[in-house]
Amino acid sequence: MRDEELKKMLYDSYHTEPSESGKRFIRAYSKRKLSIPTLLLMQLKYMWLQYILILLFLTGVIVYLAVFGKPEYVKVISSLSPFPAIILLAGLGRSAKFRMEELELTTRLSKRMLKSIRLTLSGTAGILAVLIVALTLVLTAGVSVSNAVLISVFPYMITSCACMNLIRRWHANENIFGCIAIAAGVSIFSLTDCINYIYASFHLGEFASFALMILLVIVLIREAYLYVNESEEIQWNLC
Amino acid sequence: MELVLDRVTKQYNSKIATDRISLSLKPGVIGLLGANGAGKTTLMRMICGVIKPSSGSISLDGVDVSEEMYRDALGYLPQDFGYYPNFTGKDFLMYIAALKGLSRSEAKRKTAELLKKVNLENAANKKIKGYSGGMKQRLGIAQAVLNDPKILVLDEPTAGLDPKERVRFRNMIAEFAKDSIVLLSTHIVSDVEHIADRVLMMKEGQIIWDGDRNDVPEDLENFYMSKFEDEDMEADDE
Repeated sequence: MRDEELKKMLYDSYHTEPSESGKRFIRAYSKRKLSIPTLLLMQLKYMWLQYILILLFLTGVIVYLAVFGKPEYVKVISSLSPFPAIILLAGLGRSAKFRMEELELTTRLSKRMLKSIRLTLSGTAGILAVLIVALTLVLTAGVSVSNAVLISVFPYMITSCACMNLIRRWHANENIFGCIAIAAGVSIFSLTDCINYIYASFHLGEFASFALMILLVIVLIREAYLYVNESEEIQWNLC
Repeated sequence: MELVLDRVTKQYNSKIATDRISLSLKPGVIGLLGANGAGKTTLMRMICGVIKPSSGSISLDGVDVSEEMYRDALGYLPQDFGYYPNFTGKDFLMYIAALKGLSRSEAKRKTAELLKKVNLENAANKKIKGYSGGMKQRLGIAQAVLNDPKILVLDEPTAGLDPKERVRFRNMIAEFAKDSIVLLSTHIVSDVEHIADRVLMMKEGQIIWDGDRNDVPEDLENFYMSKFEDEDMEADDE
């Protein structure tokens, strides 16, 4: 082989552009697999900071009342417990509110995946908040575990179940006002001590609390499942 | 590469938005013309997987529209889109890039490259709410091509653009169309006239004409108007 030919071959092998199929392969390979933890972290970063701050503030107020308040403040604590659910449910409708939904649906994420991730994040935040309140009541106010759950967790879960059902049936930005009305109703129910009246009237004890808790968990899981799996149609496509 | 629509129908109660549309689209620019309410946006949303057809199927090289691989090859510019408040242009592109599965380094590189390409690099760190209509549209085009899509769907992309920006946009699209299927819907005929290789005309949910740009015997606008008049006259005769 002549030197010039060898030189040319050596030059070509070092300077040739990758083939089109090679470029496609590299491009496809370099894209990350979208794992669940990656998606959770990604959405967490873009989560609605204002809602988290409001949730923290509300939780702080409730914890303050639990620690430093008088025993009769327990009703006030119970009446405030539905509102973390509203704050977080409002965040779920953010992409529809700001008309980002259509763009988000044409990325690698399906609507089901996006909803699941957001529900996981908001649900976790809400449950943590009410569990902190319940724990504070048990540790500082001398309230029994079942009573603490009755005071803080039940109103939150009842509100969450009812609001998720409403959001699923009423596709409009105004559904948040319906959710606020539900939260207000549960709040008044708690403030007027109705639940204790019912417990006393029907001689319900800790077993009833446990059974009701299980029932609410089942209903909440069902509502979450239906919410995530509802029609792919965006609300403005529904006639 | 081939995007196949097989008897795609979308029905809402008694209204048929698209009626058994069957198409086979190959790389190049396809202009979709039609009046308001013709079904163009519904068709585009089905191609993008935003809404499900009532019947029929859509696939790219055998990959169905519902699969992640299909969405990975897709870029979409809706007719009307919003943005989260406090997002700057750069934040917006980085967010969409993350959802499209680009790594952080790749997202940064593409964001910088595209902001320069659409002439928004000086406004990259400004809030989108301060952008003009034309700037928002250019940002929209940039997010659509972040992932080097094989299918690029543009719904009324030149709405709000001035003539100079419209020409710039046409040049951008012509460049993207070299390796991709670009479906461009509009009711402005001149947008299609200059860049489309193939023209589809749509009316009342149906494709009333499908052919190459060169097959149009006369000025495209006159031809477009005549097709709609012919359809109206046939309807009157019936």
